[in-house]
Amino acid sequence: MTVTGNMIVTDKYDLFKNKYLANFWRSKYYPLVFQVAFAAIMVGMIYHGLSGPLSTNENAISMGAFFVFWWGIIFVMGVMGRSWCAICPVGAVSGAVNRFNRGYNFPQKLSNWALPAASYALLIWGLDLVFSWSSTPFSFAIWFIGIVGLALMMGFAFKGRTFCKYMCPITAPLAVMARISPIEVRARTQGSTYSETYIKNITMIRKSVASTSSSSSDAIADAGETKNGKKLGNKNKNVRMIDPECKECKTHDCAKGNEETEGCPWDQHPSVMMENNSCSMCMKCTHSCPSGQPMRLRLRNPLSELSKVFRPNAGEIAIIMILLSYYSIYDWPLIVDLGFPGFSESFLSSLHTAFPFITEDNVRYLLVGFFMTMGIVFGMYSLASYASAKISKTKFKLNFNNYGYAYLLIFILPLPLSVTIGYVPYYGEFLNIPLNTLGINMNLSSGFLLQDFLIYQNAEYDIKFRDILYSLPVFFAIPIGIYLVNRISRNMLDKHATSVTVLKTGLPHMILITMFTLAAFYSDAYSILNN
Amino acid sequence: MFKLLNASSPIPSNRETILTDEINNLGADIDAIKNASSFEDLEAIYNKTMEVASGPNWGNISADLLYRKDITASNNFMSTLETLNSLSKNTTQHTKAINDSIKRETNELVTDYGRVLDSLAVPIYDVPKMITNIVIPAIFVVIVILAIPRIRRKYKIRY
Repeated sequence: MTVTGNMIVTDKYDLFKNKYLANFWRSKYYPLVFQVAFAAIMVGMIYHGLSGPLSTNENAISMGAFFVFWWGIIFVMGVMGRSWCAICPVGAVSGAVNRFNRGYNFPQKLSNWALPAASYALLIWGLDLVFSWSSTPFSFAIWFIGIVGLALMMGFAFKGRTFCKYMCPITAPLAVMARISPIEVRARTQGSTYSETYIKNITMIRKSVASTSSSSSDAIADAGETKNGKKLGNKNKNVRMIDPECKECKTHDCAKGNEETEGCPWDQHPSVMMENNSCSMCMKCTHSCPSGQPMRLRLRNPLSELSKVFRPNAGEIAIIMILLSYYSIYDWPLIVDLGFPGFSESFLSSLHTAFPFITEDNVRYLLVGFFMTMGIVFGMYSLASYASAKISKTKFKLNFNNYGYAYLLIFILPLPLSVTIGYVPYYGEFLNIPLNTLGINMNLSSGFLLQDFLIYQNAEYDIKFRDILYSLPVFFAIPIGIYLVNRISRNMLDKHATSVTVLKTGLPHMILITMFTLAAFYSDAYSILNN
Repeated sequence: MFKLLNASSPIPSNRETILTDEINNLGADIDAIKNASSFEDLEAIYNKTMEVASGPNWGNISADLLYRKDITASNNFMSTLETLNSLSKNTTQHTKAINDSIKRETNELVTDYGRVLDSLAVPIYDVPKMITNIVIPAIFVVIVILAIPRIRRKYKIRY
């Protein structure tokens, strides 16, 4: 801890204290180097997709998209929030064009979570059915070109990063998953937590900062003193939590930028920022802050943002439910088979008879895996929220918008594990294509990494190992989910609420989390036993 | 140890396919022979060994091995394959001695396949391709990285 003036500053977990990390992230070449390098890789991949081999296994775009992009996304999601957005080549070209934008505002009606959720749902379910983009390199390249073209058009037409915020197919999952990042970029504050009064004043501060630069510092300074137009006087001492340097700052370069740097591309103000879902850790706030002293890159409890969400909204909950249904609950007919043997087979065949114009695969994948699973997940979650609302005598909306974050762990724990570790034996095969394309002719066979590891010597064990990596961590979701539900209930209810009331309120969600977790586990266990 | 290709060294046009697709197909064939051997299915072994020996996968891979001047790996694999093929040819004789020999030769084939993989894992550097696909793009990337800050300063574009 250090003392600045009359305030105590918590610097314990500041990664900028490490000179190598500070040099890396504070460098003027971060994230430029990564952006240009990834843009070059993207161009090469698109070129190979258009002119290279027609087989997915031989074309750099199909394998590259998995190896470079998917693995990269998973890694940065688990470690550094949505920092992929800072180095993403599509965002980079959109941002470059955005310097010369025509100044139109993106329609207010579309500035919400509906578009990102829809574009993500379209990416994972819709596009593959329409033109098999993931299995045809040429289609994949065309799809990529379409995405880049859209990013360029939106960057040129609208103010700010509209494509990244509202149209990028992966912005929605990255935004919700970034909430569990163990790292955060914030301005220096006293302590590491914020009080309720402070949180309620944030909206007003943000508006003040956005509306005028000259009065914004006063707004921040006065934030703790005014609430709904009434003076709070000395009772609210939370104003001290803002760093004195930020409080006295007249320019707010971190948010608005200066002549050199553009400021936060996500319209955030680091001195009052509460959440990671809109921070790409591009470090522009750090670069543009005149002194740079108040900026911190801090380690934090990854669950801290889930139990107390500053601005909970139904859009984010919808995305969590889409992710949950896509990664964990899609095999629900197998679970019904336990009680009613043969259900899934007869159910799928009857659906195919009812919808003869849809292929059998699409009945399983689209009709059951998408529409019905989504319906079941949303229906059960709404029911649990309704029950919680009735028990606690609070509004349904409040319950619906808050408890969903506790479900995040059902898929967020196993996903990076199974993708990053589970695919290690295949990294050799993945590397072969880029290496051979680049002129290094060699064959790295499966298991060139960890060759002596028993599991990787046997193809059958290997598949099971990957499934186990997915299925076992699911169990962590139950205790962590119950803990989070309890914390959310406590934060939502009156502070005088008894522990029994808190427990009762969260009980429907605790039961549902357990059910979903067991369903996810069963689906994987079934595939392990039957592979 | 690695080898170097230059403009005077002819590069097989299908090398990428050999090193990605065909080696995997050969691996799948070896697995099939291994399975057939464990079930003592002589007919399947005969058909599969014949398929491997006369098929394009092994032909291309052996050409690549010869190009790498690893004649031993190629010869060993081919000789074991031929032995296995001849042992399983007469499917009416199904004695314990033949079964044991087949199992021994199958293990030998798996070992030889491992040697083939080891040989193919030695990188051959295709210098002209590396220049066009790595060096030139890398130079371009560095130029862009160095140029962007200058351009934005000159034209007062905010970064």
